[in-house]
Amino acid sequence: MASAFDLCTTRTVEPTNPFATRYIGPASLAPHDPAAGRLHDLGGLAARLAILGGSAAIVGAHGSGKSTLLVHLAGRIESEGRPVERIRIRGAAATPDALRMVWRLPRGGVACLDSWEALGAIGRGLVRWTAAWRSVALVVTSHRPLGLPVLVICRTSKSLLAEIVARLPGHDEWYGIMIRDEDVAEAFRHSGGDIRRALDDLYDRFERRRRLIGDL
Amino acid sequence: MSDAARSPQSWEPRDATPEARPTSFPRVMLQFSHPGRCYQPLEWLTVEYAVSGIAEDRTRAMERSLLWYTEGKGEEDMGVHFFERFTTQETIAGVMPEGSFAVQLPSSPLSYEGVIVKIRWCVRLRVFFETGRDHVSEHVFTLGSVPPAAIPVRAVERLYV
Amino acid sequence: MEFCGRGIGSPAMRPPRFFAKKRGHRRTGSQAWGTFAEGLFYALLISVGLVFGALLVTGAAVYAPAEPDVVVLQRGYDWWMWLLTLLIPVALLAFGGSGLVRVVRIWGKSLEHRAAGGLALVKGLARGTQNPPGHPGVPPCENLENSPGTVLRYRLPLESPENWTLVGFGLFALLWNAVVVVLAVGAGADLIGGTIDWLLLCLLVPFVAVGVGGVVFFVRAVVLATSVGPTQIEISDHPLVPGSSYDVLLGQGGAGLFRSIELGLEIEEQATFRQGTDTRTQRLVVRRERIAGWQRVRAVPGGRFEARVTVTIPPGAMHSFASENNSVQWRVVVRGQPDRWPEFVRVFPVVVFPGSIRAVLPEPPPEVLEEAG
Repeated sequence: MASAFDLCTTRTVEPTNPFATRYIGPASLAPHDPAAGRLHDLGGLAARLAILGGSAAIVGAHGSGKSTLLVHLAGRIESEGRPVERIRIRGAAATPDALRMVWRLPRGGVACLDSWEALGAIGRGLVRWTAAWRSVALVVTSHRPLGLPVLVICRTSKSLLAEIVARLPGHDEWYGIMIRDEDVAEAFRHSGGDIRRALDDLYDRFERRRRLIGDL
Repeated sequence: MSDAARSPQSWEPRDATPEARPTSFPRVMLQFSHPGRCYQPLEWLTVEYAVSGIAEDRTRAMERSLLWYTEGKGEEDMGVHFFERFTTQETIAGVMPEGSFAVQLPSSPLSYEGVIVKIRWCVRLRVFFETGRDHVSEHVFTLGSVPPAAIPVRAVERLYV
Repeated sequence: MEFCGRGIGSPAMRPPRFFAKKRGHRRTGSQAWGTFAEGLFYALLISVGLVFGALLVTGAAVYAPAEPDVVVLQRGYDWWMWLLTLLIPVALLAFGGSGLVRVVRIWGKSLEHRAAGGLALVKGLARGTQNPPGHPGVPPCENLENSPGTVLRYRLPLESPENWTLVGFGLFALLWNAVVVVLAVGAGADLIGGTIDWLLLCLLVPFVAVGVGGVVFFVRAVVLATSVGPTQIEISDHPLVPGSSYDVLLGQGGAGLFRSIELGLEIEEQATFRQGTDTRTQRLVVRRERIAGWQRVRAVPGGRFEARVTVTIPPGAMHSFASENNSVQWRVVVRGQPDRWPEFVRVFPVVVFPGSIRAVLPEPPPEVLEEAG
């Protein structure tokens, strides 16, 4: 009877599509710095944040890796012993949630707000005022600085997309069969440099090719 | 959705920096009672597991759960069918480093290999350390026998023409 | 507080851990601090609500605005004034109370733990309005079964984007033209007064053009919705089960000729992705089956075109599924091509339950383990 048991020793699963949200979410991807051709120096960014006075903005276009960098930078700051809280802003209605988050952080804490501009001018003013009053630092992502000093400007490139693809689970097994170099290049071109949309495009390509190969 | 929750944040690798990683490197071996890990609705699922690589005094709690989650182009949703938590040293000793449990599976949702929505069932073992960190071990199985969804023909043509 | 589930072990009290063990000069952050502070915040809200409410009810906070130095001991509120003044403390109490309950529920729990707790809590409160009993993940179907059919058992409700288009155009035309009227009245008043505000007049021209365009689109949408005539679908049973067959009655009203009418069955996957400022919902029809089609159909004058067909849900097909961000939806779709109007598509959602479940006798787990060993 014991032989009938199926042995499973690994933590995770065989991804049916490595471009699924689970594998391309901000916390799953590594924060790449395409200008430097390597991962972002999180320690250096944390030090720069201190030089800028504790509060700053990660600036960039849609799908340029702002949220990914924010997640990893928050982890880095937290590992240095500072209380950190994160929130994803989906509109001005999130202002009470953002205010609560700033309120519940102790002095010296860091509030990380993804999509800062979505709060609206009044919401941003309230959060900044509360943060200043509570001595809480703000690290935000936005398309423009919006009154905060710029910590880093996120940019994308075809090589960045290729680097991200190369780090997805099971890359060696499927790359060249399901997804090829030309797919990555086309996805980047079609998305206009939006890495998120490019990965979305590659999801579709992977899915179609997998089923086509399966049918053959 | 009553039993659905958002994507598990703790699944995401929180230990971004080498300094933050716990010193334990747990290894979990888990055996399903059915070959191929394929089960039918309302059937009993039995698993046996062994956890190694954890110093006993470092374990603060252990959780065993059986759940479904979605995978695909949307945000991850999940629903827990079975959950157990052990927090005292006596109860932890009964389930660590080896243990087993059996659960009767529900009638739905069935495992589904869609195009932009996929549903997966898994057994999750989560070990909490004294440091406040935790380790998750996830083992997927199939519930039901729904065939994969076909991709729309026009979508395939668009790619290959 | 933590607990051991399913009667295993005993409950254990543990002081909250605000920071994890120190590692040299570094210490790891903890959720406990945030949760504790959040709890304090909600408790503070409740306290403020209680104090404020008590002051209002006891009359201590009442004063005469005309004579602020005089304390009014006799309260003279109307019922609506009571409602207004109590709104703030009640809102504070509700907000603080719900927040505190949430904090207590998530204290020190993993995601599976929270989801499992939510499952247990909601099961008792909302059975029947959420998932059908015994079918987690399957959407509710009460709303599809509350309208009896004239011939068959149920008349399915219509879920057509046409209606929302109509509402959208109507609202836009209404609001935009309200602004135009205000501007036009201002310009007209100036003209009557003998002055001409050229800037206002220049501004008025594009506003009027857009307003007229909005009205035209709205009228066109109304004509399209009403000229084709209503579509009705009745079905012999609901919810549906894979492998079973059902009678479906199609009724199509409206005068004139339809070049074609087609009845089909579809499965649509829907996934919503939210990241930062980016929220996208993608829909994809992964299965489309034609049930029946009719060419050159003319409705009976004063009546409607009717056809009765049999629909079989394919055995082994995926059941309906719905969660917060993902769904698999089954629907009956009617596509029509009127002679003088654009093609229309009308969608009627249905719920498909999981197929007949093979009877599996519960196996006593210990025996299985003994065999396995």
